[in-house]
Amino acid sequence: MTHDLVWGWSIIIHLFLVSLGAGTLIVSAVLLLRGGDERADRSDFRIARIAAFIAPVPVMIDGLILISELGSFQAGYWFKWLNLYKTIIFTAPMSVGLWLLTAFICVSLLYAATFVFADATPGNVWHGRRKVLAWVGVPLGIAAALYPGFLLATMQARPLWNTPLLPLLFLLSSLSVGIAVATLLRAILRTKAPPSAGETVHQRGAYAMAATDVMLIGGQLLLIILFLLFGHLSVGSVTHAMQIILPGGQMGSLFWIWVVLIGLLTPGLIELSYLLPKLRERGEFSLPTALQLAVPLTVFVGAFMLRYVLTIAGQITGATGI
Amino acid sequence: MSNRREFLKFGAASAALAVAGTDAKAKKPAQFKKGGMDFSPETQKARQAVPTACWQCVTRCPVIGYVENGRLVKIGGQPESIRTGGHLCAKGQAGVNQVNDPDRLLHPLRRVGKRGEGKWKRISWDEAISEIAGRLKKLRDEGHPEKFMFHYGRMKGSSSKLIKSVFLASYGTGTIGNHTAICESSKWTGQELTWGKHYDNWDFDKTKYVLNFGSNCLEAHTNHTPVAYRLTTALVDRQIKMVTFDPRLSNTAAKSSEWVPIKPGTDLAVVLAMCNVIMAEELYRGEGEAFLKFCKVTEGADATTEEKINALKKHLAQYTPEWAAGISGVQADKIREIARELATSKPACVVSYRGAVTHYYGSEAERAIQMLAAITGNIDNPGGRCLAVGAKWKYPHGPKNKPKTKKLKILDGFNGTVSLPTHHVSHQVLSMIKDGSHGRPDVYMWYCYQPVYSNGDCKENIAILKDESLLPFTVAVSPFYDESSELADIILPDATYLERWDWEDMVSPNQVPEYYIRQPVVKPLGEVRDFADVCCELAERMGFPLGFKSKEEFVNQSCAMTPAVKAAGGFEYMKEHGVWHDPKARPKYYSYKKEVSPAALQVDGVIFDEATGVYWNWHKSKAKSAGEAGSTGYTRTKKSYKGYVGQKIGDKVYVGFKPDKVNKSGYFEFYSHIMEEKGFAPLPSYKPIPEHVAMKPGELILTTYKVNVQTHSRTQNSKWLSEIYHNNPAWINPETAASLGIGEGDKIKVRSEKGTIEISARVTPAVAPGVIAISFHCGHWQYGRYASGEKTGFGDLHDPDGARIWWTDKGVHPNWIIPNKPDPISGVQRWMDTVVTVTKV
Amino acid sequence: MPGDTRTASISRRDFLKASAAAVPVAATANAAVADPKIQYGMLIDIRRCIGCHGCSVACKAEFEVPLGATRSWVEYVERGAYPDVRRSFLPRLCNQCSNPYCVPVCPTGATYKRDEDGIVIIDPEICIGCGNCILACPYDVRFLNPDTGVAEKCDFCIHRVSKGLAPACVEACIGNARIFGDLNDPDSEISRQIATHPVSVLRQGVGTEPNVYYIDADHAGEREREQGQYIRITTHRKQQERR
Repeated sequence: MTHDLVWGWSIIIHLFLVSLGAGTLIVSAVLLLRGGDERADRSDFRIARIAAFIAPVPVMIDGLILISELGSFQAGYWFKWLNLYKTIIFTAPMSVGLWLLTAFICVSLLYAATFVFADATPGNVWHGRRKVLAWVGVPLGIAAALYPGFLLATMQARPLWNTPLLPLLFLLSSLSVGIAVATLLRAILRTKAPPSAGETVHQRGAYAMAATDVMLIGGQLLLIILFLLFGHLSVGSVTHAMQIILPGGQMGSLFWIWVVLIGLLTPGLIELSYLLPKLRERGEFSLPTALQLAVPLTVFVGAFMLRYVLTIAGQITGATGI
Repeated sequence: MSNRREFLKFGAASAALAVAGTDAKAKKPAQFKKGGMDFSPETQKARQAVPTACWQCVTRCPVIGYVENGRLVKIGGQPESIRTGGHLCAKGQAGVNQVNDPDRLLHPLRRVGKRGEGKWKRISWDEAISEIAGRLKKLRDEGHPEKFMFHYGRMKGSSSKLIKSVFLASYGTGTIGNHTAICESSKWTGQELTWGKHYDNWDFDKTKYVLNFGSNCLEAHTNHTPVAYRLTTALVDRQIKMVTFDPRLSNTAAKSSEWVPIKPGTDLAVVLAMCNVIMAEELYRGEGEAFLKFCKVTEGADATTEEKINALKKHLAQYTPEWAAGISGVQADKIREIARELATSKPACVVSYRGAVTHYYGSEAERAIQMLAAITGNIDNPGGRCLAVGAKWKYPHGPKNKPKTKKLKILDGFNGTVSLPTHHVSHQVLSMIKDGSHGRPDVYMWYCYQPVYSNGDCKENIAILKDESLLPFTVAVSPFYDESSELADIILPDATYLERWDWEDMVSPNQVPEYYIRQPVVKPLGEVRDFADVCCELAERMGFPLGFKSKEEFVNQSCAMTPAVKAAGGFEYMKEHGVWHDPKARPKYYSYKKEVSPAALQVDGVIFDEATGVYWNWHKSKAKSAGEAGSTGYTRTKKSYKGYVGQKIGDKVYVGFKPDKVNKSGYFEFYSHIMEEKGFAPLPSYKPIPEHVAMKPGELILTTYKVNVQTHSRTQNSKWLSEIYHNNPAWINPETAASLGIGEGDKIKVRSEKGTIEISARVTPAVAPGVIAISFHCGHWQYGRYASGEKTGFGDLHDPDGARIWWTDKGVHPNWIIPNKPDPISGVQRWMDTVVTVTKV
Repeated sequence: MPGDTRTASISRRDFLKASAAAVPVAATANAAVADPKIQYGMLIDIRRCIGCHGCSVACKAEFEVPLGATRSWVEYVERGAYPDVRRSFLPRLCNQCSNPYCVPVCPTGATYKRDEDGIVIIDPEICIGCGNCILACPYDVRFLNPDTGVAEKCDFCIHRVSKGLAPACVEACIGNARIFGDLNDPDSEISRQIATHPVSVLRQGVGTEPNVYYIDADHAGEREREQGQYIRITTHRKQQERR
């Protein structure tokens, strides 16, 4: 890449880690609120618990990376980033996002804390507080998942980014990542679970998750189609900027192979192929363990590459004409 | 000035208020002041303003240096200058980078390894001066001062007077090389043959039409900024028309009303055809015809205007527009159209520069251009092509009893190759040293000159300079470690122009002389010394003190000796203001029309020459007696032109066009006896470029050019300039490129008789087919990190930008493949005649 | 009520500098932009521009702009077919927009448009160097200073203008192509010139309402190239493509 990028790896990682944290928190909270702590095998609860521990970590790491990448920090002004906390500017996604992510970190940490104690099982004293925090966590997670999209979409000068589809795309992608985390956890935890009564319940949970994921992936594909259509139907700068991710464009292969093929179509089709028997009521849903590990990985790769491609492509394209 | 500055210290608001008056509505000044002061954006404090003069190019504009905490941070225009009107180009502003160049030399160096090996030892000034003075004194004592050759690139104003006219003259060497033949000496020779003195000023303030042959005056030119801002104003405010002939769309051509692409080296044909049209269509009537009174067109001295017209018509009849079209590629109708426009737009200014004159018969092109301006009545008139006007400084001449200088005959090219080397043939000097038949210097010293890089055939230049059997001792005087300093035995670190004194005298674009000085903006860094100061010490050590200890003293004395400057307040005034002109002075035009007073003709020694109609004083010539002078005649007596008094035209004696360097009459000479005597046609005539006649299909003509942010070889160490312009892809027309299978950005090989360079191609319709155009600013292999990417290791100035050089392509120097070939008339280096073959790598 | 906005702005600045964890106050860009008394602007007469880069270098020197960064630069636009080729020049600088995209996105409020003269500036004490404004600008006029880590751009040479001096690029312009002054004052030279010449702004379509105007600018770009015309845009910047 010969271009000098204002936003490089740190922002790409930032966009991914925020999505990862947000998605994980949402999935954890949803599993919990859907009664994960009441089922007999408690597999959903265990997933929710570990997901709760995971959720704040990427966002906190992300904060450190972001600070270290600030121009002021790199020039040796170690604490200038605290200026961010001296104000809130509602027109600035980064300012709103900062407060939002700060709240996210606080809430997700508290939420995680409710799982920490040895008796962090359903029905103990933390139960109520845990539920309240989960209720708070869901909208907060959604907001955090939307935020990276807003950060980019509000820039009128960057035609590739300047579309309301972007926050939505990031939200769906973030949820998909959250489910991928849960799927991974399920695969890992399953080996430890007693292979007795809970099996069908467990399978039901896995089925719901995979079904949701397929819908999310479908939604993302739809948004991408709309995104491209929007570019095609628009005139001038957007059309021009869109060329970069179309086949043959500078980042075309990155986008179509890594984001669409590996990141969306592959996990979507795999999951769909295993969902179909149950959908047609001709069998049970059962994803082999290897795929339970592989599918989330492709989702992670796809989500990361989506952010990579969009971050760079948006920066190196701009208004046409002068 | 001091009042205002004091006042400004009170702060922003009060200053703004006071400028705008008490109008409550506006807190802003009615007019924002341009120039004269500057403030630090960080501290808001005024930066110390030091009036001085630029040196980034030969224009030498008066400027103001702004200093903050003892460091030069900015250079701006001098608003008090009538030449520049306060303007300053990018190069001038980037002079800051010259002083603060992290790679500049700060101490004298002596070579310790083999010559050119790059191993150096730091030595003291005392050691350096002792060694040089010892060698020079020995030569002088042995009676061979001429074995000290001093070769300068740019040396003007007081530097030239002190170093050349005083120091070198007192020492006794006449082996003094210059660089004019790699610049535009053909132009000057052409002018010397026609109107005497060299240098034409273009009066853009008053002109209505500009016809330009090969000048890129909006980017470069010897009087760039003063001319550029006047021309721009004329083009926009007065809507004048400008037509530019150039093989390449320079920025000047781009801003012209019309760009006429022309085959390189054929301007002469087009100009002659225009003269043909003007004569044939009787468009000379009016001003042109009237001016013919002062022109010499026929062999005899007293032809009538009628005879002159007939002679011209007869001579020019052969040069039809159709004929010129076949040679130049410019359509015959276009030539007619422009000739008519030129002749009917009064006043009009005919402009020429290197594009037209650095060719075979380049001086003939200038003679023809002079003729074109003359027959349209646009010589030395308001709005026309004028005799240049500059400051006339007086200065101390040093020791009274100067020895008769001796010189090696290596300055004017090989015998028989150049007929009128009025500005020498500097590009042949190294070859002549190699040849050795006219002797070789024992000490070869160069000053503000880059013999390796600035001449053609770089490889040969390096070989000669490296050869200790040809040049036993070489001294480079330079602020920078360049490709030539690299080959010296001793390097004397010169002060940059912003650390030294000078008085200056460059031509005024408005015909009113301007006096200005250069003074140190900062103290010389490290141990650097102005070479003129070193000359004072060298002279002292060799036993012929110059009568002043430094250039500062020289400038000080000059201010006291020059009446106008003295009256204005002398040295102190100049130090404070930097620049002075007589506010009552009127622009100088038609100086040739002045009559010579009868008293001047009665002076002892003044005689009349029948053949030419010239009154001249034989005492000032080489003639030994009045009798000898009379019988030999004005034309044939050596240096008779120095005694020129006036020209008899009809029954009056006019100041006329005073000769310089050659014994021409006081007429504006179309017809030149001097040319005739040297075996050329007396009237401006066409001769094709031999190499171009012999061109084979597929071969191209290589032309070089300058850009607006670089000067020759000398500014590439300026980071702000090199950031803008650092590589020089070869321009090639799409049609030509297609025929050679070359695409945009392709690496191509350009091969001449001297060798091959590899360069990338820029395929652009902004250049004529059959031509390849490469600027000569790039491809340094020394000159510090910003020019070549190579640190010298000699400087110790901190510059964080050194780590931020983002460009890797430093371009390619075309001079590697351009042979050094003189124009047979003037000796100018034929930069634009090289024939090359171009292939895709 | 210009006076009010001014007060509001000052208190905002004070707030930004003083307190840390107080109640967050929303300072929208609009409040600061409203009805400035003076709106400084620039008019660049391309007819007089000879592409000399005098402005580029003046700016470099005035602020010691690091290599690789540019506050002010000149683009060359060369187009046509031989021999009808033209080259025109397009000096570029911050447009000091009336609707600046860089201002609202600044997360610290370091970038703001001054009420008193409409110049968009960056408070280096507050800027943290996040880069958001750089990407928000449709004219690519901003950069992070590698030494301070702070966003920088043209500020119309406030330090000179406030003392009655023209901006450095205006002073340096060989062709007198730049006119600087108050666009809100109908009697100013810039207003009179704008009133009597056809003028244009850059990327008018993006809606930033620039305060830098041009006479006779060549707006040719990608569209002409896509139509098959020869067009070469040279920026002389590190970022070689026009952005």
